[in-house]
Amino acid sequence: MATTAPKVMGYLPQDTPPFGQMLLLGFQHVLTMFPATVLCALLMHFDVSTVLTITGLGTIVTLIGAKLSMGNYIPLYYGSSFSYIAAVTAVVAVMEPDLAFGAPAKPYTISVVQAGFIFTGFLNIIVGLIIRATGGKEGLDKVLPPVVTGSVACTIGIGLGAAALGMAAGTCCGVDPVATPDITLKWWLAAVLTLLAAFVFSVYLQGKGFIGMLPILLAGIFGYIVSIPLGLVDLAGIFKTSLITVPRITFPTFADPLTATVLVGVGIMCIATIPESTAHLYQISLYVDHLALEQGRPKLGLNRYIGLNLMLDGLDDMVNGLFGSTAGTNYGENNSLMVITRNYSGPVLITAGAIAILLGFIGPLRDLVYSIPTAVSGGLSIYLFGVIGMQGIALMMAEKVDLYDPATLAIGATILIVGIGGNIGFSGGFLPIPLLKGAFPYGWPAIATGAVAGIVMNLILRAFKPPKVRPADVLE
Amino acid sequence: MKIEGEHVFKGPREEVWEMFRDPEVLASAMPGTQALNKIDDQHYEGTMNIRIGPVSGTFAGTLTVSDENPPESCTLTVDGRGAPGFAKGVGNVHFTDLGDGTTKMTYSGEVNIGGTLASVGQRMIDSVSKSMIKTAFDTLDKALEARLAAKESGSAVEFKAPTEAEFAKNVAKDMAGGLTQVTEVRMLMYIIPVAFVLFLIAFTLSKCNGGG
Repeated sequence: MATTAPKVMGYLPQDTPPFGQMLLLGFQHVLTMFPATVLCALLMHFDVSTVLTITGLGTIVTLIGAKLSMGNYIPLYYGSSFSYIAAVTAVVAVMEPDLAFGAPAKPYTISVVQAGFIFTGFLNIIVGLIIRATGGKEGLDKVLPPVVTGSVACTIGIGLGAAALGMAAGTCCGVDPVATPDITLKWWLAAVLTLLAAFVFSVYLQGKGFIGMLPILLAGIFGYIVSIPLGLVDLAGIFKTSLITVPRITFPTFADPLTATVLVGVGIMCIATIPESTAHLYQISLYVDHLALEQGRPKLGLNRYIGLNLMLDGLDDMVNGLFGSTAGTNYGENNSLMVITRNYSGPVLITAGAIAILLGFIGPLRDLVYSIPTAVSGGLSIYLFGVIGMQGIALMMAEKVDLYDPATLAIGATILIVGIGGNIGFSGGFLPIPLLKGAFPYGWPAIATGAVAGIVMNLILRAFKPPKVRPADVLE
Repeated sequence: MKIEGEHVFKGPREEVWEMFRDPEVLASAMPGTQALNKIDDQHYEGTMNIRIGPVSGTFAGTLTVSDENPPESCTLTVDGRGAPGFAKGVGNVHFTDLGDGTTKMTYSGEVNIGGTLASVGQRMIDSVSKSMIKTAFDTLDKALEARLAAKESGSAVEFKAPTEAEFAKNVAKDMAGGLTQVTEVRMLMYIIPVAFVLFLIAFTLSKCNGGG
């Protein structure tokens, strides 16, 4: 592509580095997305191999889509999204109540959930087109203002708080703190050490190059190792399957009594990924243009493509939904990696996708992932789920949401209580509202209900302008 | 607005030149031209119907051919005025013999458009003019083909210029083509077939390993 040797090292999206570098950089991308994606698969009871392979495929399909539609790559890696965990585990818990942590659900259960991922992809594409038609972010902010998206993100993260603690204590998985207090203590020990490691690594490895990108992976490995003497790792299972195993592919079904619940409960979670994805696009666009400027090459202005980016998100969700993987999102972790390595090359990301596809076929890797003790995942989850919640707050702060405005307060409050209270307090996170029984046989999915309530309240504000009696600056 | 580009005609340079200087052919290539009357060898007078977006109207104008250097180059000057505004343009046309029986035409010029036409149709002028040029070359290609065929068989030239309706249809088609230049629409054109193919693959694979 670029024939002139750039003065400043680095690759723009359209550049193709030499083959050796492609492989190495691609592998770094895979390592970076690996822990979160694998954890998502385990938490949602999806098959780890399938999720690795199909998220790789999704990344490739979206990159090519951007290239074909606007002539260049949008450098983003698509892994599994945490935003869907709460909604999905609720459905899986209803269909298979006795499933152990991480154990893959039955193909049929997966198929039912997949319908929701297809729908969320569809919604993303629609929102992308609406943004194009209404001319940018302002249109999006009218329907989904930061107080709604931020609060929903909070709900998704904090609402999983009890699940994280259950995994750390073992109560999720049949460990009885009364009958076997010593085993419970071992679980806590593994979880707390893992959490501590995640804390230490993510704080003190900052800015230490590539290794600073992998605090979660390193903490996971650390937790895994300390769990071995605690007797929490079942090493017998590791070389059970053959070297090459074909990932399990399941096809979505739309004909289950739970389908409506899934479509609403899972589908609407795109509300949380939309602002996240848009923020990632802005971030990467800034850095890509900075590199272009340094190299004296034309700026790409990728931040023009908010609508397109959401359509790509939707396409990725659809790919995952079709093949039995979990709904995806572009990863901030991989953005950071690109910023550090100054490598935004699209071909490298495609290589990374191909490597992820191949990893899904490696049997021992799958076994190894499944031998990760639940307590270790619990320790990581305390941190990671909490971070989702904190990111929701960060979003509201970055967008300068006026938290003294009664309308904003009411919207945020409703979303948080309905979502978090409902998800933690009621079985499976289903609100006991005996209405629309046909669509929601187990109750209304709490987080989605909270989100919709927030959207409706915001629309009321749009329809009937409230009086401005307390300007924000009076309170300062 | 600058206009430039090139086009390869499948015929020898002399033939192309001759055709280019035939007012009837030239009129047929310029869509909506109702008449192109020769005043002398260098000056023509005519009327033209133009429609750009919501604006349409009849232009009366002159076409001047100057700096003629047959069969190599000439300069065209257009000056048109009508109810919806005015259009002025100067362009240089150059023919190069490519040696293999084909001729390359290079053109470059500047067109100025003013009045309602410019203010209302501004956003569409670019794609409409591209579409007009494309249609013009399609017409000229066909005209050339007809002339060469006629020469070979010794019969009269049988060429019918496209009617205004046909032309309008072409422009409409190209404007739809303009829609396909919108990134998000192209994305949809990618998503739909890709989703369909993946749907089939996923369905087949899920049957293969007993899932679904």
